[in-house]
Amino acid sequence: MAIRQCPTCGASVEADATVLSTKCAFCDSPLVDSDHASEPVDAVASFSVPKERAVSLLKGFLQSQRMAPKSIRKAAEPDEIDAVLVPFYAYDAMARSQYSAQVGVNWTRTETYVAYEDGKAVTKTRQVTETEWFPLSGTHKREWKDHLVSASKGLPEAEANELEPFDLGRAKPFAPELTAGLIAEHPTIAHQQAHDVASNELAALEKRAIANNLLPGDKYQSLQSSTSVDVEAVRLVLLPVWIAAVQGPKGTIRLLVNGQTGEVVGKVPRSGFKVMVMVVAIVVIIGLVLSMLLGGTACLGIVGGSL
Amino acid sequence: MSGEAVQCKQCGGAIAATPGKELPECLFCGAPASDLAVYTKDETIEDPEGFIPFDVIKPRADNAFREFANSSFWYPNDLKDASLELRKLLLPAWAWSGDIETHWAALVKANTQSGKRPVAGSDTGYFDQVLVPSSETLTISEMARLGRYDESTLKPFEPNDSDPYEISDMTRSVARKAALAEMERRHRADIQSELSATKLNAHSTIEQVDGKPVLVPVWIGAYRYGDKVYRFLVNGQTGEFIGDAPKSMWKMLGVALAIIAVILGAILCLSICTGGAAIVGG
Repeated sequence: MAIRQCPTCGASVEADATVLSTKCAFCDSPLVDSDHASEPVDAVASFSVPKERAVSLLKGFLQSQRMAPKSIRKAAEPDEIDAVLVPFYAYDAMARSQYSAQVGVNWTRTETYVAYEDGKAVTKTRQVTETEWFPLSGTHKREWKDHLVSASKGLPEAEANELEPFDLGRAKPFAPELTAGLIAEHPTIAHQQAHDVASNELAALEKRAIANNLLPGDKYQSLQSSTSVDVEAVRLVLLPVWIAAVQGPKGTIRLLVNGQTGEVVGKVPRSGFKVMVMVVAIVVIIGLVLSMLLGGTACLGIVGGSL
Repeated sequence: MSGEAVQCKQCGGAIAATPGKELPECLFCGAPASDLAVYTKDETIEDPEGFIPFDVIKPRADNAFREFANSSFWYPNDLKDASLELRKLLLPAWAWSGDIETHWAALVKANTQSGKRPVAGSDTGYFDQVLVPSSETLTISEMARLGRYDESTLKPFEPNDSDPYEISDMTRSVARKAALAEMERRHRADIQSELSATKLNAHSTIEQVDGKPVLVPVWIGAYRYGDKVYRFLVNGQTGEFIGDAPKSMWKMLGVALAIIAVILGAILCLSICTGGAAIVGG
C-alpha cells in the first residue's frame, strides 16, 4: 500500500500503487507520496451502488439542476469517478441536557363584533385563538448511537452530513481484502477535533429533540439548552462514497454519491445568463399582474362612476 | 436439548418433549399427532437457562376452566362441558432487568385560560422481571394478562427431565428490543397515572440491561367449538387464567329481541299516554 497526501486539499489517500490514479479523488490535484501515521480501522462498509448506477444517478442529478449551465446539465459522463472508502468516526454517546423555554398553550376566546349586512348593523360572535405563555425548564437524556463525523479533510463535515445516513449495520469488521481495488483514505482529522464536532452536533440534535419531541403545548419560543456529552465508544469506519469530477465552465465541480443509498451531493454553479433571464421573467410577470390589478380598479372606478 | 422436537403443521408451534413422553396432539391448537413433524432447531438460538416450576396442580387448573366458563353471561351454557384436556407446557420467555431513567414534559390540568399548564420532570426506576414471551403463539399482552411469575423460584433447566416446552426462535437482540420498549411503556404509564396529564412527552434511557432465556409454566388446553379453535391458559405458578371463548348466538339473539321488545313497549306506552293526554285535552 502507498499513502499519498494531497498538497492542495490535505486529503490523505491509501491505495494499491497500481490502482491509484495520478490525481486526488477529492480535489483532482496531482498526488504526492508521503508517509502518514495511521490508526486501526474498526469496520468497513462495502459499496452497494455499482459504478453504472452511480453514473446514471449523477446524470439525473445534473439534469435536474435547471439553473446550471447547459454544458454541465448535458454532461454525457463525469470526467472521472472513483470508489473511495472515506474514514468516519462513529460515536456512541450519552447526552444530558438542561433546557428552558417559553411554552405557549392555545385557548379560544369568544369575541363579539359588529358587522354590516344589507346596510344594517348586526352583532356577531367569533372564536379567536389566543396563546398563554408559561416558562418551563427541564432535563433531557438520550443515548445516541453511531453518530458520524467525517475524519477526512477531503470531505467537509457539512457535505458529510448531507451525504448521510449510512447504514453501519451493514459494515463488517476490518479486513484488508475489503478495501482491495478501492481507494481508502486514512483519517486526517484529529480525534480531539472530531470529538468537538460530535459534541457540538449532538448538542444541536438534543436541542432539536427537545423542541420537536419533548416540549408540550402548541408552540414555543426562546428555547435555550446546554448539553454535556459522554462519549462511550468511538469506532473508525470506512464508508463507501463515489467521488466524481465534472468539468464546468469555470473549473472542476466535485460531486459525491453515497455508495449505500445513491444520494447525490454537490454544489453546481448557476449559469449567469439563466439567472438573468429568470429575474427578467419575474419582473415582467409582476409588472403584468400589477397592470391588470390597476387596470381592474380603473374599470371598477368607471363602473362605479357610471352608476 | 434432547433433540426430540416437533413442529405443528397447522399452527407452527414448536415443542420439545422428553423421549417416552410423546405429545398426543398439538398443545396450541389441538391438531392431531399426525400433524406434528420433526423440527430441527436453529443452532444460534440460546437454550433456556432456567425454568419456573409448577405450583398449580391439575384439579386446580380444571377448576379454573369451569370458573372461566361461568365468568361471562355471553358464553354458551354447554361451554363448561366442553372436552378440554389441560396439559403442562413450559413457555419460552426472556427475563430482562434494567435501570430506567425517563425525562418528561407534560400538560396538566390547571386554573389557567386554557385549563392547562406545562410541567417537566424526570423519574428513575428499576425493572427486575420484564418477561418478553418468545412464544410463536402467545402475544406480549396475553403474557401480561397471565400475570407475573416469581423469578426467585427459577431453577436450573434440565432438558432431559422436563415437561414439554415450546422452542423459541427469538434471538437475544430481538427480545432485548421488545423488553426495552415494554419497560419504556410501563414507566411512561406509571408517570401518566401520577400526573393525569392531558399530554405527556417522554424519552427513556435504559442502562445495565441484562436478559436470559427462561421457561415459564402454563396449563394449556385447546378446544373446538363449532369449527373454531379456542385456547385456554392457566398460569402454572399463580393459577391466574386467560382464555377466549365463543359467544352464544342464542343468547345474543335473545337479548337483541328483548331490547327490541322493551323499545316497542316504551313507544306503545308513550303513544297511549300522549293519546290519553290528547283525549283529556279535548
